[in-house]
Amino acid sequence: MPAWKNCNRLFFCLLLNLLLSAVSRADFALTEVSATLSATHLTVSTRGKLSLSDHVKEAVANGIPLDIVIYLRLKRDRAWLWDPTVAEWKIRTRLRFHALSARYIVEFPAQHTSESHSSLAKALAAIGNTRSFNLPLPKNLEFNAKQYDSGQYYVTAKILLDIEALPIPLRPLAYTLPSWWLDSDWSSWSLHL
Amino acid sequence: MVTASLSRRVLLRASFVLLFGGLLAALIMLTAAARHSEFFGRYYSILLVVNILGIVLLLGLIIPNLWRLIQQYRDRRLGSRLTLRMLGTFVGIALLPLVVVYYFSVQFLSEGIDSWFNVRITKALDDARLLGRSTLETVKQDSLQEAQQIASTLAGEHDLVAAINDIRQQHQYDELTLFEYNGQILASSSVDQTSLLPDRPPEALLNKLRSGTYQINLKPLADDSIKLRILVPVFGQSVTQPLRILQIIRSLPLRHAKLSASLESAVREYKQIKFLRQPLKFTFVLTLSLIALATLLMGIWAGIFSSRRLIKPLRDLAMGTRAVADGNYDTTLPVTQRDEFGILVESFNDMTRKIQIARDETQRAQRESDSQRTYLQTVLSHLSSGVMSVDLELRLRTFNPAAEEILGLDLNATKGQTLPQVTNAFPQVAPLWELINQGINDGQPEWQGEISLNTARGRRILIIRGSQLCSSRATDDGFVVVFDEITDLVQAQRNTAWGEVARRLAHEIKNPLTPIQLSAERIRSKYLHTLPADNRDALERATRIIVQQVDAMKQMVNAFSDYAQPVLITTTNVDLNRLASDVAELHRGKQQPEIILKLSNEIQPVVADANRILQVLNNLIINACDALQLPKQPDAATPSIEISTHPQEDHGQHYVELTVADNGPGFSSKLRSDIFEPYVTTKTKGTGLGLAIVKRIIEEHGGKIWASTTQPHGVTVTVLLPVSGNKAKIHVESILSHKGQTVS
Repeated sequence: MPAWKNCNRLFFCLLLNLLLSAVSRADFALTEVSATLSATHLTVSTRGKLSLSDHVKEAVANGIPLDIVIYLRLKRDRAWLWDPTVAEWKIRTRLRFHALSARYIVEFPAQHTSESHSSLAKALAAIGNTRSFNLPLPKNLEFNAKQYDSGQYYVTAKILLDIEALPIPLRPLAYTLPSWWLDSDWSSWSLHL
Repeated sequence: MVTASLSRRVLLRASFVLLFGGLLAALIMLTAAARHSEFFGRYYSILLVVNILGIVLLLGLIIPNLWRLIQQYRDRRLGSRLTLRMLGTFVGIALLPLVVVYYFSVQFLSEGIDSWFNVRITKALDDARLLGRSTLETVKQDSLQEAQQIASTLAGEHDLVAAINDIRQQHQYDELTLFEYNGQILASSSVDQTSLLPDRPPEALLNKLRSGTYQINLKPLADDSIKLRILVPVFGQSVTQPLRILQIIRSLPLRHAKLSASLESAVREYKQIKFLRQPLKFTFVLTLSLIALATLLMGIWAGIFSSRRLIKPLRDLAMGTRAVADGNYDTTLPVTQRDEFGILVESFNDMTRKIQIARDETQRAQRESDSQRTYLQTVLSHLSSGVMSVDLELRLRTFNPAAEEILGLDLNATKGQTLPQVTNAFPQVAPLWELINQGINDGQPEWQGEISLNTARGRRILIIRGSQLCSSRATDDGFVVVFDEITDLVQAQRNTAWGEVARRLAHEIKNPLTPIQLSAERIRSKYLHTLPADNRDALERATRIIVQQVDAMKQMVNAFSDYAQPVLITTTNVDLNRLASDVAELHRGKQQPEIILKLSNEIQPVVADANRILQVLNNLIINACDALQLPKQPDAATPSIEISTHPQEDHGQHYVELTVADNGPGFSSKLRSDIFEPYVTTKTKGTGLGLAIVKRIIEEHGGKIWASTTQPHGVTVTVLLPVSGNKAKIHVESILSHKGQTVS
């Protein structure tokens, strides 16, 4: 087949995917974030609604691992200037399909643990609904941790699909196709002591 | 300045090398990343952006340069055409193989990737996966049976902890746990000693078990290994004993584990690659396209750079040559290269240096030549002698102002014409041409002669000397003719001669006249009464005639005496218009011809002796009146005399021109040239000295006088007198006698 036909086909596929992506647009959302501050840790539990576009579902079914990252930022409230970020963390989870068992594996690299789920929905729920993640505070903040006032500090969170963790051939397409742009807005949550 | 230019050039080259090197490195890394290099793969997106930015930067460099080049081509700048042509050649050379390589590479990539996949491999892997799953089912059933057997053995055990531990170690399970029916842990044994609590089954599984379904759950792990979670009920030996739940967590048998892990990995990778087929093509084509585009742009930029670098010396040379052609001989070009172009530029600089030296020499020689020519022209223009030069074809080449003055011609219009042509245009110079022609025909290197020309200002006598010109250049060969007007000299000689005649007349003739007259009167008085009456009349008539003729002779002698003797004149500022009006008034009368005055108000006073000028005017009017009394022409109009004055300028000198014109019969051309000579007259009576005296008076005033024929007939006498303030020479010491004269 001539090369130009391949290029044309690629371009056509890209255009079609672009249109389909616009139709089957899915998104991530964090519905609840509970953050509790201790002397040395920030314990976080989240509830999220994650849904994948058809294109992404197809990718997962074909063994493409997805890295889903929850970004957390501890911020200090200021009256006049922007609020500075005191500390920030990333909770990375990896979703992949185990073909032989037909189950979805959710890995937590930070904890070196994994779960398996019989359906994609359950696996996504497991990713969104994290429970009691202990995130260490930076050392220079440990001394002041007790003095944190819940009114002064708050947590912002965001969950997204990490395109950079995708296989290299998929990255250009993922950057260009909206169906791969899966993320939530930044949301602010109060801090519990 | 040279150092700054050099450092700028080095900086520019370093920037280009850095840009090209960086872009090349980014392309190499991008290629490595596209080949799943672990290290570069992490920075694939950054590398992609860096490469795109590099290409945009190259485009940003190329497009303005190309635009500028096209503008220069449109403006027809030197070197732009050649630069574009070379650039086109470079780009053509680079583009053709690039397109070919790109085309075949894309085709090869596409077909190569497609060839990775075929139906048989896909089906084989699917079959392998199904086989694996069926194997897992077998393992699950075996494990279930084994678990049921263990559950039956545990029914009667009292030391559950020891029993469970023994069973786990015996069967090499990962974990063995016994739960109460409500999920409370009764006993547990695990291979993982670090974990305090056993792995609790999900509540959903427990509920399903309570509903009577045995649960065998596969638990795949991150390392592709699979663990089995088996939940079976443990029934008591009696119905009173509570129901319990046994959970076994075990790995697959070693052989099965390895095979399943390998199968899972192979299936996953194959499916991944199959799914990524199109993106992979896209990535490779994108990478290849970026490489091709970057290569092409680098080629174009290198083409622009190289073309400019190659063309620059040529353009400099072309500009330098044009500057030299425009006369800028001090043009030097900077020698920036040590190759053949450098030698060429050095040769050009050497050539311009030599041209400049030669130009300076030529200019110096030209200045000297101009100076000499100017000097010669100055000398010639101040010469009182007329100088003319003609070439071998007798074409008039040069002449000085004195030549025009002497000949009374404007020779500028005849410059370049042959002497016969000049003679045709001015017939009055025919004697000159005849003499020159004769001298040339004689073949003598030098010749001499004297001619008389009738010019508008009277007859002029010239002495001509001619010689042959021989120079180094054939074009400069010819003849030079030098002539001097000797009219005044001849006139002076004649005046001297006439003065001598007058003196002798006065001495030799006038002295005897008185005795003759007295003797004649004495004879008449003594013998008139003694003679008979018939002889008396004859004596009386003879003596009367003698006395009368003696008187006439006395008058003639006195006139000659007046002409010969010098006299003092007293000059004042004289209004010529007033004098003309006064004289005209004297001659108005019924028997006189009409006198018409046309006097200009713009004339200035002349420096003259008023009495002498009155004498001149009187003589001229009397001459005109006498001429009008001569036999008239058949078509003669009413006799009239016109006296006019108007300002005149000649050779920077201001004059007043006075003309006295009559409409009488005029005179012949021969007489016109001699009219101011003494003893020349057309009248029956008179000495012929009137106009000679007039001329002498005018010349003594520094003026000029000549006579010309008025059309259709008549004579016009023109007098030029210098105005007051002129530096014209006026001989204050006049040699003219003061005696009043009338023309007779």
